[in-house]
Amino acid sequence: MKISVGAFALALAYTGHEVLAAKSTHVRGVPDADQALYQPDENGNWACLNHPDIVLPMSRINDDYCDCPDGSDEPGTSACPNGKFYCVNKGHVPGLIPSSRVNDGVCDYDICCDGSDEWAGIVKCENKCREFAAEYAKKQAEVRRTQVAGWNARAKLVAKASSIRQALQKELTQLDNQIAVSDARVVKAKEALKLAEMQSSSRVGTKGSPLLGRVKARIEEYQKATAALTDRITMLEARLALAQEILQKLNEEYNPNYNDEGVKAAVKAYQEFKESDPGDGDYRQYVDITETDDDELFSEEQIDVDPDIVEYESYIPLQWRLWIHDQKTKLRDFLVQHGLLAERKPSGETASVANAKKERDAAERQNNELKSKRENVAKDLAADFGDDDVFRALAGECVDIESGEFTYQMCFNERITQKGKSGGPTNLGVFDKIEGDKMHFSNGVKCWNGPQRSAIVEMQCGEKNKILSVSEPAMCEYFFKIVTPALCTKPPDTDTKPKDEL
Amino acid sequence: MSTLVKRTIFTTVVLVVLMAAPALAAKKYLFKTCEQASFCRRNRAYADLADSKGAAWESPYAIDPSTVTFDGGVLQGIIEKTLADPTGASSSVEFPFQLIFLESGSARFVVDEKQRAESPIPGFPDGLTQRRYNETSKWAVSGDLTPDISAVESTTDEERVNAVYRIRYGPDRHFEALVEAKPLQIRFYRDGEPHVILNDRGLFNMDHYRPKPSDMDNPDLNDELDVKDMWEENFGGKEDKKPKGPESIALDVTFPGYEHVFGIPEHADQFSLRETRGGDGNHDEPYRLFNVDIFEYEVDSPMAMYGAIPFMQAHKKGSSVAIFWANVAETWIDITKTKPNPESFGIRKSTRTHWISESGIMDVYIFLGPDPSSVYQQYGLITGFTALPPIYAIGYHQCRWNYNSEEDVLEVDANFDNYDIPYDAIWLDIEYTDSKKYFTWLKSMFPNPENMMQVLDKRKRKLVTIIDPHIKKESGYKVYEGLSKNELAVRTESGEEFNGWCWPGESAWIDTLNPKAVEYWKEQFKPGKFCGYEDNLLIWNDMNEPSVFNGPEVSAPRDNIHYGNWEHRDVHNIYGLTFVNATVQALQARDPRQRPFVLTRAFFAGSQRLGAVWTGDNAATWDYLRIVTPMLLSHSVAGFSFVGADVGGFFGNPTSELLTRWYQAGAFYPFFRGHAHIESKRREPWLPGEPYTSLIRAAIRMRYQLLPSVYTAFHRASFDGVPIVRPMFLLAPDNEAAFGIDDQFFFGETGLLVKPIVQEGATSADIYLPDDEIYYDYLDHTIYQGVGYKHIEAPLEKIPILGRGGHIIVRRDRHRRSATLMSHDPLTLVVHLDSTGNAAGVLYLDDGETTAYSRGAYLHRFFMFNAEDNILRSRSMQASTGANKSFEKSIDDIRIEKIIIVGLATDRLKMNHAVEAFQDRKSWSADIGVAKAADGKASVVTVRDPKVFVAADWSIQF
Repeated sequence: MKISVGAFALALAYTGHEVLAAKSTHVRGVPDADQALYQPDENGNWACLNHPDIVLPMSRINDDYCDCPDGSDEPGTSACPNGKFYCVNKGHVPGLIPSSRVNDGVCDYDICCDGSDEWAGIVKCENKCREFAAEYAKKQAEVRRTQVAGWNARAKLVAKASSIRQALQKELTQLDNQIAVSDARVVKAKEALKLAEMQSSSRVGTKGSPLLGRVKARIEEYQKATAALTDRITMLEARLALAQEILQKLNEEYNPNYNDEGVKAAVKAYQEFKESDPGDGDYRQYVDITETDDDELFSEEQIDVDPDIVEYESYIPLQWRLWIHDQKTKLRDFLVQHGLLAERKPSGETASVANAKKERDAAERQNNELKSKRENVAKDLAADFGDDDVFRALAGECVDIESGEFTYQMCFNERITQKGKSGGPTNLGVFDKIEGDKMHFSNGVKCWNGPQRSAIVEMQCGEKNKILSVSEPAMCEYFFKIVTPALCTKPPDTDTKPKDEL
Repeated sequence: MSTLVKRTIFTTVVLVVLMAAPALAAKKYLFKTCEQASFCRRNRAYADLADSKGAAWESPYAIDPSTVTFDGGVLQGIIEKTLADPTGASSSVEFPFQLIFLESGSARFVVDEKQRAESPIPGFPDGLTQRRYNETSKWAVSGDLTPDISAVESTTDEERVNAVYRIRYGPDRHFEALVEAKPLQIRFYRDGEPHVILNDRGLFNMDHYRPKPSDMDNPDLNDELDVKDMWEENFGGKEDKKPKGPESIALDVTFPGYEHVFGIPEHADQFSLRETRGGDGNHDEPYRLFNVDIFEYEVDSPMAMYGAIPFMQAHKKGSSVAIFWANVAETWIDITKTKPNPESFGIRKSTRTHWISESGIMDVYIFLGPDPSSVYQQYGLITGFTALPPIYAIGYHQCRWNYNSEEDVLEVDANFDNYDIPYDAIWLDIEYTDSKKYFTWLKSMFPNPENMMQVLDKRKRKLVTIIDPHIKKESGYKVYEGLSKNELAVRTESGEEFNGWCWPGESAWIDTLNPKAVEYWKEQFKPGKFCGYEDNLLIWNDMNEPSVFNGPEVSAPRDNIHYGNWEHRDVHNIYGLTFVNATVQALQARDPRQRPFVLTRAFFAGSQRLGAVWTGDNAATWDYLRIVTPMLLSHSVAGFSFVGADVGGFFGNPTSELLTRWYQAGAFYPFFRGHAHIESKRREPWLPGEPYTSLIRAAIRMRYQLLPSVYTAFHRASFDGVPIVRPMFLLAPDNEAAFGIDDQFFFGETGLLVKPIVQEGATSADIYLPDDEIYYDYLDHTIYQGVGYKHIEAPLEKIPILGRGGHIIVRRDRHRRSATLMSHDPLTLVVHLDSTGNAAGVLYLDDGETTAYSRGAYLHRFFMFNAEDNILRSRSMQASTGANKSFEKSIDDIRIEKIIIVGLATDRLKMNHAVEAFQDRKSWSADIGVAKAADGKASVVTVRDPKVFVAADWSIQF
């Protein structure tokens, strides 16, 4: 049976007073508690709730025409744009639905399980409150269960975090002690070296060493090799620049709208190549040194050193030093093998210096290690791990989810990765910070035509860590929803079963 | 300053310019210039030669008077081309012509090539149809082409002797065609005045078939100016074999006394077409019509775009005429304007146009108006009118490349409700498919699309999925296998299945010129085949130019072969239409009761009968927002009313201000859809935050409020072709200053004059009043009057809109979640009284979704406010039939809940607090609220709930 809106409104308008008088106990769309607001004044009129200057006859309440700017005259119809309609939802919790959803032909059971929002009959909405109430009760119980279990799990995490913290603090104290010892060792080792050097210096530096000429010749060879290498590098640089120019042109002019996988792969690889540029590492400064006028360096008047003490290799850039050292060793071996050079013998005079140096280096190394370890521990202790330090307990713990073609792994306080069926994992972001219920991961691998990948992880209370969903709302920006006990709050002590209004 | 320094500075400037605007330039080198298309180059050179000779130019083409006959509304004969021959012997080629006077009042000039139309030509390439392509009408024309037997010849004896023929035709035989045999010329007169002249400059030119000369280095082609590329052509490293050799057609058309011409979409250019032969503010290139996937198209350019409608309207004070060049091959149009002759008083600037097509017969329609509405109707009677869309199709559409999963779709859907913003359809771009195989779903992301569609259906919302014409070549993919097995795909010049690259990788293209392919397409949409729940599943056809990533000009090779053994060059511009046609037929077959909805990117004349179109891949910059308005106007005058542009701009990320302004403009686009590229950030209306979200909500709600008026405007477009986005000259046909104004428009029947804000940071606008009528600010009722620019404040929260006096706007003021959910709501009338105190308006209403309206199930009413008696009346505009009675009954509970009268002389009100309503022989009073005119604002009288019904006759005495 269809009751028309207009007909109803007309009926209401023509016989308004009688209708309202007969059932003045109830105004549609208004909760019982507020019914008292809809009483006539002594003249039988009524004023808009927030506009007392606008006075209407009672018949204009719910007559399907909006008179009050606050919508208060039409709580039961869709006439006012800003009104709310109250559904009693007997047997379940009551609901407030926007007026714009009243009598629009949709049963909005999620708010009005009793179907009372569709009273005009455009569509028939049977009362579903019994089902909804049962469903709601079940859900509430589940929420309650999760909350309790989650809270307990969280308590364990907090305890774990606290013990980790204590362990760290203990480690820090130990480290401080070790560092004090180590500092002393360094001082001692340095003094020992100084002494050894002073003792041996008198024996170093035979003027006109017969080896000096050979060293000079060898260095000249290295310089030649260096020059040849420099030329080759210059040539390769030019060719690299040309190749880069070609790729840059491709990168700028290719059409990203077209799905040419070959081109896209090339562009992507190029961009990643560009990203990974280690910088110039200006080797030329070293080349310059090798090119200095070394006649001066090797003038006999000025120099009298044992070639083993002259660490000329230290003038050569690190990248090359190994190569040169290697060549040098080979050359030496060759010369020794063919009897052109005597086998090297450790010099007794320098052994003590060498040993002292060794000790100093070892002491310094240990000292540095201890200090950097201390720094890390201190940093860890100072880091923000959320309320109650709870995320400290989760650091490094990982959860996985399969979504679409990928498996995603989120490791607390570390990183998020995406792994396809083939190929290695792609870094979607490194842990950055926690803000409220969200974890931010940033600086992942750069997208081929977009930003560096990043992710936001939205957390809610759950009994165990679990990823609920992954999405990529914008290209290379990922959004995770997870549950974790870390986000659980203390459940209220009172019984939170839904109010039973039956 | 030394040269070196200068050069450095120049280089720096160039670099700066290049760096300032690097992203948004079409890949120009991908597309031909006229110079690079041999037939365009040749015909342009031909025009240069003719123009340089002036009056001394003698065209080799003339009608042979001995062949001319006139019978049954058709004047026909033979046009002869005399071939220059070095030996002195003369030879000629024959081109039969027909000048057909149609019952619908228009004239049609058709020219074919005799040898290709008649007996077989020895040596004509195998496997190709010998005829010139003559099936444009089959696709583009839906109207009646019956000749008008009442057209009469009025040739005088003297004229006959001089081989001049005169035919009177058209309504009351007010039109006249004057045909001269030599020099060949056809002049069209209306009431004794010439309006359209064919071959005024003698540029008529048709290549005739010749076998390829054996010695191309020394060809015997003395009649040709330029023999390069006649039998073979290369572009961008791609070869076109051109087996039929040169076959272009060209004709010049002069519009004497017309300074402005419009139409020939699609171009991202101003509305009043520019000259194309260089000069300040002009183009150097002709306007090109060749459907292409033009990535990040340029604005203010004559370059070809996604669609082609070779319809051109010429308008001058007191007159509008037009032509339709019914050719679906590549077409170039040169436009020049003659200077007014200072010696000759009253001779005005004329527009001269030169139409050049690659192949096919010559087929030109001439429409003589006399006014814009008549022109649109005459053109619509040939190519058909806008399909009446379902009501949801004119609501707001939310699209993105891509919504990635069912959860994603449903979350966006839910957010529209959370933020209380209405919308009607959510769209899925290509990523919903399994590996871009249409009719499949990416199951990992869309495991249960039926459920998703059912959820959307609860709020009467739709899902629109993309289906393109490229079909992935993959064994095991049933759609491809069937296509391939049944040989329903486009073929290569050697007859093999054509394979090219598109989204899925290697693909075949369905040949929807083939009726069997259409049947095959219909099968794919059969209930249960694509998806288990079709009630609210509609379709988007993209890439149907066709876009072929590795093809010449990102399209199909011209020597590909289609059904009927036509070359692709012959049918290129119609392919997109045939594909949409197949989809529309498939949706109709799926459910004959529902109106189909299909959005297309490629189009041709006639596509307006099939659905909506959008302007393709624009970008999120102010320039692209600016160019939308002239583009909408161009589509609209060329019969394609259901048009829109991607709100927000497809590429890139709009600022919140740009996004807001774009929604404010988009609320008045006939097709209203937000869309974004996969690499752009999300920008759904709630994402920019306040104040933007509220302003976007207000703009979308304003659109929904106006839906009854928008729908009524669509209804009008669907039967007489008057567009929804209307140029100034439609309402002010005699104001010459307004003809070129293309940054504002009138919206449907409402009289609303809309000026979208397209400048960053603008807080005001100068809106041009094209006539002396009274105008009211739509929102605050401030009065504006007098021809010229009016300054109007337009802070971000305001769209400059004026309501022209004399119109009645019908609205539904209650906002709902979708258009369909508004169908039970009462209506509001907004009456903008004109300077004489009168106003009128129309309402068309039907069920909004089924085809029942075509059987009479609709409501059509007329509202009129009469100044003499101060009465507002509602009267029926339809004959009373069973069908409309039953529809009226189904809506007999729908009231007019409010009437707002703007500009009433309040001292003439009979009662100060009430009006009297009459309906069904009863009368009663209704309360009114009166705001008197003050501070430059008009009076506003609001009638409170007059309790009159939309389906009833009633009147209200003020």
